[in-house]
Amino acid sequence: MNQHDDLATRVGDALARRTDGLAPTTLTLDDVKGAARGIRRRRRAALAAGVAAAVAVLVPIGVVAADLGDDRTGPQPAPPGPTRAVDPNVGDGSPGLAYAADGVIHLPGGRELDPGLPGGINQLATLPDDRVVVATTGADGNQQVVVVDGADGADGAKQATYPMYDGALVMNGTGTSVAWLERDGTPLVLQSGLEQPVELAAFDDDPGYLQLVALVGDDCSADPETVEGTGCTLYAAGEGRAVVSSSHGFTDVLDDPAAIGLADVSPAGDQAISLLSMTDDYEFCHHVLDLVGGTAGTAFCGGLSSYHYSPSGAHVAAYFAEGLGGGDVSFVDPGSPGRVLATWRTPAGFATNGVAWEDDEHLLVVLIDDAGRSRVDRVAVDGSSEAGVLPEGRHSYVVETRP
Amino acid sequence: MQATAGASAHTGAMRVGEAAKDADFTAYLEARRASLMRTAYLLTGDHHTAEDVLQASLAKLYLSWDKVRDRGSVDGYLRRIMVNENNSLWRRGWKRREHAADIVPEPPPVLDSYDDGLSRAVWELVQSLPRKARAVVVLRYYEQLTEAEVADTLGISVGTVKSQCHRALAALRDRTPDHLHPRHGEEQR
Repeated sequence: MNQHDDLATRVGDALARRTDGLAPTTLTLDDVKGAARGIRRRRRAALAAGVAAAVAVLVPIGVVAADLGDDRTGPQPAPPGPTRAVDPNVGDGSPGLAYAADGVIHLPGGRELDPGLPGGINQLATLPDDRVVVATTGADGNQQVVVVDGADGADGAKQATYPMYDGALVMNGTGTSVAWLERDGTPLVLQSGLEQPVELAAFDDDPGYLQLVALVGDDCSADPETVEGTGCTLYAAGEGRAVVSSSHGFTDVLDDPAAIGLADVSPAGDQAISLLSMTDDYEFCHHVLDLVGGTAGTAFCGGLSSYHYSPSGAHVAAYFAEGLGGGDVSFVDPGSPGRVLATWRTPAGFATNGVAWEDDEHLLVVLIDDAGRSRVDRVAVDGSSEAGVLPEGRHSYVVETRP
Repeated sequence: MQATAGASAHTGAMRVGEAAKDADFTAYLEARRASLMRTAYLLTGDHHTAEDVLQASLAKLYLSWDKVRDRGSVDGYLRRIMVNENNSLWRRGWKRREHAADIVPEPPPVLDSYDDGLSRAVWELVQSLPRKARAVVVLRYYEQLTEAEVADTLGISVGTVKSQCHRALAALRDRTPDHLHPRHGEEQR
């Protein structure tokens, strides 16, 4: 047994000793059933509100209203959106984004790069200068960012490696810059056309566990003394608040006192969707924060927890994403995200494991099932879908990070 | 009459089904209650919150019991709910208010006559970790799940599990007195 294993064993033993003598819980079946009844009541109320909102939107559109023209007078469930369904195993219509499967990067157009990363590919992003930025797990078990040469003939050669804080890659609205956090928390931004990453100001007021949310702006290398309107701003969610780091050399806490989290920031940087609260049965309340005027909109609540602006900011996709696998994907009104415009039902047996905007009208949805199979569907903003854009298999698909 | 008889039979069948479910669930609860409470305590760090988390998690398990039981993965499913429940606590207003208070309710410390200092260091370290990282450490080293099982439970990558564990052990080494290091003294031989 090596030193690492020995210490790990002693940690386990120490934790076990800590629970010795712990007062036993008195929870009974009646307690559990009482709590379950409360959850069920709240879920029904939330579901009823959700159906009503969907019907209110879909019926005027008339997509399927003609089919409902019978004499049914009672409330009807929301009809599914129109579907251009294809055989889920065919893989019809290759995606317009890069993706990774089994450690190989597939670029739009069909070219493949094998960067030979034993730790797999956790996330990837492409830059216009043909570089591919990959988040992987290094030999020491820590996260790394590896920059891969994606130019013709380069065959996925590694250009640079950077230690990475546990977190995420985020991309700016025009797809020209990708940001991540260094192991020590320092934000780095790799811009198309610049060989080395630009370092932004570190978040000096420890916000706890950090998760990058958005990068706004096109030129993080701009002189900090230049006029307003240039530069970039990186948004991150800490524990209980959101923090920003600006290329103008400062960091700050986002001025949104009611918020306890940050869901997304529009690509133009003019508005954000902030998390206000979350209840026991996963009802989430959010509001829209006007980042220019500094004013917050009316709170809206529902079962959606993960919000994603489209590249132009004209659409917002949202779904429930809390551990057990995400659910149906909704498209909400960017100006009033509590208003659901269309909903796409997750195929039976599958859960949503991630989304990426392919273009401003289409979302790629990564689906997984309990058996570890994965596939990617294309969903349009009207709720119609194309199944199996990437065919079903044991691939653990990773689709390119987009704004 | 026929309709009434049919409805009665249906209602009766439902009751039988619910009674069977309750008996099944009770058997699970009795068998696993103590162990689940220990895990909840390690995840949350205090007894009262652990009970809250466990009750909410069991309620959600109860609602999904028919679906989950058939999969044969009840423990894994429940662990996932518990971790999610605990991770969500900080987002709730009541929890933030509770944090604002000076007095944090704690059970009496567990006396450990064999504690050489490492147990205390481990506990303090685990308490200082962000919730998600704490869950990784508890599931990996206390529950002794594999890295892949921890990743699956938490919905994160295996790489993230590795890095969180690596960081936690490294921090523990930094905080642990020299004489408690597993290989202390070997270099002198």
